Amino acid sequence: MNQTTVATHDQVDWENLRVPDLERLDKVQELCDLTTPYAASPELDTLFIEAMVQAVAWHREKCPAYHTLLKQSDFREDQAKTVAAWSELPTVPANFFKRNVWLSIPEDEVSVHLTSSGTTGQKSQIFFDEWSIRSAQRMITRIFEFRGWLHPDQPTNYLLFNYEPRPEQRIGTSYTANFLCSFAPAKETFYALRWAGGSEGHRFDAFGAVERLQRYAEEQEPVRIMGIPAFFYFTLQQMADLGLPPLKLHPDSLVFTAGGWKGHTGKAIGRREFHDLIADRLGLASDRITDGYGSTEHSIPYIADKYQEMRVPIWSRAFVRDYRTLKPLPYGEVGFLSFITPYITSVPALSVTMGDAASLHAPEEAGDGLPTEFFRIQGRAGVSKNRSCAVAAAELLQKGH
Amino acid sequence: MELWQGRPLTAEPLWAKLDELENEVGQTLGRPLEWENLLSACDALSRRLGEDSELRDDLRQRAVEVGTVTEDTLLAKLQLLADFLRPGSLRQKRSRELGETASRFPRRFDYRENFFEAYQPLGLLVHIASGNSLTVGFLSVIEGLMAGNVNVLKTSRNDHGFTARLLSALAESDPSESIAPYLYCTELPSSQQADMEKLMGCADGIAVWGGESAVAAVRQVAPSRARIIPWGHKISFAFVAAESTGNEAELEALAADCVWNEQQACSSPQVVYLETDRIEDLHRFAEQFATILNRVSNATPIIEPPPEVAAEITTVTEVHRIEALESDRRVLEGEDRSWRLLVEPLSPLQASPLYRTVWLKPLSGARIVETLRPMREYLQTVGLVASPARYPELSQQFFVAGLQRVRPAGSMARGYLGEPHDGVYALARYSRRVSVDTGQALSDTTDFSQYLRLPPPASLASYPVTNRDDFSRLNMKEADRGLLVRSGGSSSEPVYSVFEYEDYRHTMLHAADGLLAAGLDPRTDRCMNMFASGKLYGGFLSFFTILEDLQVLQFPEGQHEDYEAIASRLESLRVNTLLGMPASLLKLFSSQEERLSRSRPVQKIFYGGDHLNPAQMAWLKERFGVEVIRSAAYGSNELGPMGYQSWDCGPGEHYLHQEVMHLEILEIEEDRPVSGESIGRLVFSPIGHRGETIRRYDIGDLGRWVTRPSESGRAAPRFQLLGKKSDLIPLHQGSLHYFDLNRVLAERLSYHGELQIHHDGQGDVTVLVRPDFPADPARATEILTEEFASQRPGLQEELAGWTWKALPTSDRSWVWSETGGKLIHVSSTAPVR
Repeated sequence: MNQTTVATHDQVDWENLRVPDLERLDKVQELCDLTTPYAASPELDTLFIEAMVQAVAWHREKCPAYHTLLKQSDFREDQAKTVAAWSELPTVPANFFKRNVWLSIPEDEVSVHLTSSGTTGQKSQIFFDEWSIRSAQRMITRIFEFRGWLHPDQPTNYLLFNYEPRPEQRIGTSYTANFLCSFAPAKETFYALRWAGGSEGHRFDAFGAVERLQRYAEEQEPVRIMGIPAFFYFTLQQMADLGLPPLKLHPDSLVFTAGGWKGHTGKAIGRREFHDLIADRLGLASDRITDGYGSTEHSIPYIADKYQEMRVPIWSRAFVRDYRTLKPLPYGEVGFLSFITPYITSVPALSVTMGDAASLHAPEEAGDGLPTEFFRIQGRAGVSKNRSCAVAAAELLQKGH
Repeated sequence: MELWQGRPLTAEPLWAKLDELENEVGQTLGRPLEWENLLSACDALSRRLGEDSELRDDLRQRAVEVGTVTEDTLLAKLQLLADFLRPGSLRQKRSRELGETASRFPRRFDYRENFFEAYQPLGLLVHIASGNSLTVGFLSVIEGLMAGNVNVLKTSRNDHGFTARLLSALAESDPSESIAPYLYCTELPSSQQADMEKLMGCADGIAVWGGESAVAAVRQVAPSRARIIPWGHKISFAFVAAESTGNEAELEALAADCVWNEQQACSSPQVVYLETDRIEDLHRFAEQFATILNRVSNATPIIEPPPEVAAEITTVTEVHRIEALESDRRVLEGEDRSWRLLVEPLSPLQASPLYRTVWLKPLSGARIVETLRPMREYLQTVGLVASPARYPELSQQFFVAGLQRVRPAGSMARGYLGEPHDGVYALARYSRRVSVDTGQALSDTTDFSQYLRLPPPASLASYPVTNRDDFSRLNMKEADRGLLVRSGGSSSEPVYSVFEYEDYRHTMLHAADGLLAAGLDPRTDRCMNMFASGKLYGGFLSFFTILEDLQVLQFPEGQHEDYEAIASRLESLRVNTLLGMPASLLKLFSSQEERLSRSRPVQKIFYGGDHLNPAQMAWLKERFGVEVIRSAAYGSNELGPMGYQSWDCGPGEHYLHQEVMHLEILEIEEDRPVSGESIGRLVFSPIGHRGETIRRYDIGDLGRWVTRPSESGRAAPRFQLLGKKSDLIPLHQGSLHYFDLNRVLAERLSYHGELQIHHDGQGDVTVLVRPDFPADPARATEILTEEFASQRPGLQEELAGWTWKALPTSDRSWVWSETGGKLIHVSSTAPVR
């Protein structure tokens, strides 16, 4: 298995990124080459559907299991002429990829094997080829560009609430974080989840994080704070507990968090409350604070717009599905969050259903003027902790397998 | 709904009053909760759960809001609660979990050593209830009360006050009003950490119902003195043995377990293991069991899962369905998606999202332990579908793997009273076991309760006084076990008493306590049991048990007339203690007078069934060197032992066995307490019997309170026994007691022989004595007149009219009891009307 080195965005030749088979996947290529992240038109829908048709054909041929899955369903891609009709494409729970390896490429073409630490403590993994991982990174780059967050000339201090990488590290969030650090040159980088080595593993260094924040504020260079929100929240709390005065970071600083509350669900606070706390403690304007939603299995970046709504970019479409029937629900109703996208060529993750509950909303429902749909996360679509006897489940799975 | 001392809190939440809690709890614990009061309140609540429609409606509405049970299940749960709350159930539970002598009073566990142990409450017991069972919080609090603790139940708003309502209903149902201070209930959210920590800071014990994280959270903040009692989330499964796959009936029962209560109980099967290592067997069985499950599920009303559970089920099922495409996994599902069978070739235990979702997995019998042991901390019940002969082998394997319960399929949720929970007894976990070593002191004491004045049972006065006739009517129920005892024959109709064995055991223990107090020394005494067989109390059998309990050396002689042989054994076996009826004891000594007055082997005599008068006692002491002569017990067939004698008791004086018996002394003609030391009827109310309890029983004996301070320091009531009410001789004016007559003849004439009074109820009295009566009627009348007539005008004339007859006891004029051969003291010759 090749291990692609973690490239920064400016080291990749984005223009010459190619699908594995341009003849069969030219519509996929065309869709992913689009540079505007948020746009909508009948033509775009048509292109999206054509790309999906090609992707389905690709995976059907390359992945026998997926072939079987399609065969057992009533779905016919040649008859799915609307995006809505594509909700019928057999959807695979993101959970599925945690335990199973479905590949549509030869193993030696796997360039990145990403695992994520997952919010329930269970590892998930996915196998990317060069095209898929780079495409995902290109999407992030384009969204950052769209938001005006690319500052190649501005030295920036980084505070990362991620796991400090170690040589054999494959945890997805760190991989992504490293990539995210390339949009503005790093002056200094500090991981709050420090690798303590050997038996200890990673240790959360709240004091170090606080100390670093203070210093960054004094230096008055832009700061980028990224990573797992729970640890960032604890750090801010720590500041308050120590009676430290609020800081004033450089106005071009950016807070970009992603991921769940990592097993600290009992302490979760509202997103808005969290943003207010950040603004208050670090002296940042609200448009410098944002967060993203994504998953290793799906890997399309969903990044909150200026109004903190999770926008769906042109490279994917979202559905919200009924808990029992998996049928798509109307705007505003709560169900499984689910996506379709044609871009991943390594794994048949064409339609993925997340373990999160969400509601889907029409583009015009929020004030950003962006033309694509957005969704709101409404908690976990599953059993919350301590709900019943069965919830020794997560613990059990760790011991049993 | 929150409770403060059993009453709804309206003005402020409980957490705002936490500062007061510690102080209140200290005061409450200073007035220990009386077990009998708890039983009465639980009994009353039990009845209300069946009859009180207002309470039932209230509970039903709250349960509907909670939404985890159907109407049918709720009714069944209320019925279970009502059954659990019956005194008999609670007694049985306590006795099974803490032993039959469980008490907060230190009690010796070995009659030969001065070591005492007691169960004391932990103190303040905080219960952190979980949401998955409606009644678990309430039951936990009841267990807390049974152990004597002050209880704070932390429930959640999702409980909609269901548990709090039950607890307040318990407080309302308590006429003693002593339980309320032991009850607190709060809906304090766990997120309010500072207050949670404060609450737990007061705790002496914390019972946590919940998963590992809940227990871990409690451990972090609990004070180090607090005992943490985790009742963790457990997982159960079924095991279908290879030879039983064709057993349709048992598989149907298993299917019922799989759908019952939507698998919400910890004992519900989440996995069904088939004993096989062949995948074809698994698939074949899946088809077979799916058919059965479908049938049973369709016949059982369903509770729809809440949305997040529905989502979980969908995710699990869909993942499995997709995994099945390329593996031996299968999903079998009801057409209406009401149930799912997830066939999984990997054996390790897996939790199900419940609501009729069952994993079906293979497990070969040889791999049970290695497969399941890694999950041992979660394992609870295995439901077996197996041939009976395999139960022992399979039980052993599952226990080694870490299971706690083995049940037949169809009964996985079924429990029994006093069943261990998660491998331990709850009551023991909610209690402290304390010990006392008294050195040489209190060596005649079994139970510390004798030195404390116990309050009377609540609401006793509301019960009517019952007598022997009522008793036989009340007690002649159909008995299917226990002892059916024919009580003596002094009244015309024989009376039968039903004794459950537990009650027999229990009362015998108290009789043993009494014998110890009376002066029997189990370490050194050598006892001969000379009672007659065939009767219970005051008979060979009961004293056999009592001596066995005392662990004393016993020679079971029985009652017979070969006195020479007995005397010879007394000497050769060095018997120093005799237990028997006065008549046979006296016959032994009079027939072997010469020999026994020389060898003087007997130091102690404990008599029962009749009385020894002072003159008889003096003769035994002087002539034969007997040092201790006391009543072995004051007891009756109806009630068991009621009193005992100690070294500080004069003739006829007894201490009440107050931990099992309450005594009132009522006027002879009226149901009102006597004043001072006046003579009256002894009316007993047993405490703590398992059998149907009789209250305020007029046993037919007369007595008076002994009010002088106890020389031995006992606080138990003391009374003097003054004979039977039927031994009153009715006169034209008032009455004279046989007891007094007998005493005077013994004292003044040294007459120790039989004495019987016949009367016609109209004042016509005949006195029967033996031919060796040492005086003529005139002299006897003179003596009686001297003794009694001074206090009673007109008595002299009456006494002068009495007829005296000296007859051998073989004469048919003598009247003997029909059953016991016991001499009737006073016999009425009045024509039966």
